[in-house]
Amino acid sequence: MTFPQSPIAPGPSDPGHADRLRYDGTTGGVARIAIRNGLLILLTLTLYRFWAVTRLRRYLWSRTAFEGERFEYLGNGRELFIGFLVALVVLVPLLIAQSVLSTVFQNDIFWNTVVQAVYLLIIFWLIGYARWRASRYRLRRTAWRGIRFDLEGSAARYANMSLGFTLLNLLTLGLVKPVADVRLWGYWFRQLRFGTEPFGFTRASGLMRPWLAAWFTGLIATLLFYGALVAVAVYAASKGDLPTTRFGDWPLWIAIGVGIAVLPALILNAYFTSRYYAALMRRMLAGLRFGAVEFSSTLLGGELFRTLAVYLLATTLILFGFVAAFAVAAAIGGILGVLLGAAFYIVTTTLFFALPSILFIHPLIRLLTSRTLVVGELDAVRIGQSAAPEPGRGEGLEGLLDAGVV
Amino acid sequence: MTVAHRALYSDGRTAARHEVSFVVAGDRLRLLALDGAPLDEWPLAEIGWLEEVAPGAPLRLRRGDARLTVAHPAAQAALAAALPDAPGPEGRRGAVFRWVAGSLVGLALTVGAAVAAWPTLERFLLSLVPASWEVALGEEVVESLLGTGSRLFQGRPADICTGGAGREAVAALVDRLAAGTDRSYAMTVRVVDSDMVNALAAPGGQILVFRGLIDEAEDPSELAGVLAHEMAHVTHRHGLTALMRSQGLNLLISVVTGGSDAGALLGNSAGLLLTLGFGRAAEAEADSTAIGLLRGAGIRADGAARFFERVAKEAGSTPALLQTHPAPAGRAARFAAEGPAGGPGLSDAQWAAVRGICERTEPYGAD
Repeated sequence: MTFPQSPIAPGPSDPGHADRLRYDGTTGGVARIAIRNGLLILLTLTLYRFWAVTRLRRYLWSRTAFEGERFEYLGNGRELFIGFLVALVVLVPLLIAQSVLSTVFQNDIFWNTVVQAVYLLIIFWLIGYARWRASRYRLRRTAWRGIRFDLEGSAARYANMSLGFTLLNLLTLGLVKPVADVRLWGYWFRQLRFGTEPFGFTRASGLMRPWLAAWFTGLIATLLFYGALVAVAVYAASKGDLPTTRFGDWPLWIAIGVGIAVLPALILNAYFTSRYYAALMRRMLAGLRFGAVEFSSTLLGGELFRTLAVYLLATTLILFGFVAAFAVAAAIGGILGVLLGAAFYIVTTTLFFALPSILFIHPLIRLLTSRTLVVGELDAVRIGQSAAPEPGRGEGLEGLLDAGVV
Repeated sequence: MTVAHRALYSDGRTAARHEVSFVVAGDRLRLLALDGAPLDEWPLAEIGWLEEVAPGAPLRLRRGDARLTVAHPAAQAALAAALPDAPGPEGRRGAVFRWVAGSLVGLALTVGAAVAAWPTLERFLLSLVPASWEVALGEEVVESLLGTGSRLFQGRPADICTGGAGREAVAALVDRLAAGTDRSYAMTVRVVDSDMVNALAAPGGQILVFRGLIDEAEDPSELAGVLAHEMAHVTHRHGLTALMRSQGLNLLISVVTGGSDAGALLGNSAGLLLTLGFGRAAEAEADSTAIGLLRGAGIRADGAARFFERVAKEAGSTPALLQTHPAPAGRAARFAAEGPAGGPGLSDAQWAAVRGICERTEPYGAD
């Protein structure tokens, strides 16, 4: 027998090295998959979306490696499609019942309010339930060295917690969000399994300050936005009837001034919100354990903000380009114009499906993996295969609820 | 000579990983520890790829939960030669295509069944809606068109023409035409002071005629034709039907596409085409009923033919396929076929009063 001399894998694992978790996906690699997916989604009236997301995940998972071993995504489109059909059976009767009841009670304010409130409670509860079930599906379909992940715990319990915090957030105008985030994410961490071994989570604190900065800038942006609306309304309502002052149409100037201030306020809010989420990531990972393995993150809010800003700017520019192209096609007119318009329609819709993966998900994964540190020896021999059954369907409810069917 | 290649192996029972060597022997892949001791044997037929093969990336094989990762190009080539038909991540080749094609066929069947069952369901649903709901709905529609906040009139209430004699004449004409209906709807007509050459029927019997249409009409029988047509829309409950169809269609589209924005984008195009198709069928139905109403009231129908022909000519070159208020083919001809039998519908004095109905106006709501 002969053995080739070349090495078969990266060098011996180096516990604590920053490169222990690596992502080597490329923009070109993601773009090839995402654009093909976008085109097929368009051609199949969106039905291909289940296979599309599977294909993309398989790429992203297989390009993420821990200790030189790539992750595996084992799901397939068929399971997501069946999950979608099952979710329809659950949701459609609910939608019909809500629509019929609100028609029956359309002139009865009390009962109409009761119907809407109950409907909203059910939907908010279902959102938490669906998130947990979908997350469990994805984990059971994720493996490393053939050993599968799992999420134990109860989807109903998570849904109860999530609904409770949603209501509490409404009552406190969002001030309890850091508590809610840590509790909900902490529950998820504690129920996380790799094979037979559980993850652990201690605690995370110190998030109130970053959240207050985000909350406060959000408040300012909201107030400015509604201030501008009110100023415009006053200006429109009083047009011509205002006492002439030496400042001229002063409500107009207020409206313009406030309107101009909204954009920086929104940007500031996005920046401080990014800082909050970066802090949340750092604190949550610091509390996470897996046997002797510990985690930490050096993610900064500015980096998260830059990723988001680049995505939003690039998307806006590209879509504006195609609006301009449509205008050109319309100006040309005739058969040529129609053909050009159709081509632009196909390209724009394809990009609409593809851009979030190329310009947001891919850079975000690259950023998060490069900022995550894993230290401590992994006792791989102790980790046995997960006993959880392989899921036959998944994500249907989450797909429908997140997309805003209700 | 059999060549052994090196690879990384996990047995699927624990997360440990070992360096192994492997040889392809007949229909089996033999895995050996580095000291040569046999570890495992994989029948080639049970081996699959973990993901699509990408240049530069390691080849990963699976058999159940066990994994074999092969990085060396020579070893990869040996495996590719031994496993030309190994199933990829979605199973055997073509599995994705079968599922996507199957779900498209399923979608077509579902939509087909929905379309086939729709007329029966629609009749049933329509029979559930009492006329009083329709009247309330119609009031909402008229309010949104003419009331404060209307987009047609820049947020101000529309001006309603209230010339006394003109109003009476229009009411008399409507009453004459309504004699041919089963009188389940109380027909009321408002003339709106606007240059638009248009008329429309809200559900429940409220009809709006824009002044531009009266200006355009050359004699009362032309106005009578338009009124009869709008009244026919009311008695056929076309407004309610269109509303129900668009709601049903929206539900269907959001269910199929999972409610995504892009799905809505696709759905809108389909919805527009369906609405246009419905519009044409409803217009034809309203036309034939309108001819009956005119005949019953003793009013000549060829006036309507002249009017429609003239308006169509002035509407210019918009392709018929894209008109939101499409004219059915041969509309003017069907009205013209009735010939000149019947009267004009209004006396000269009445017609003069109708022409001058907008000399007095009041804002909508105060009319």
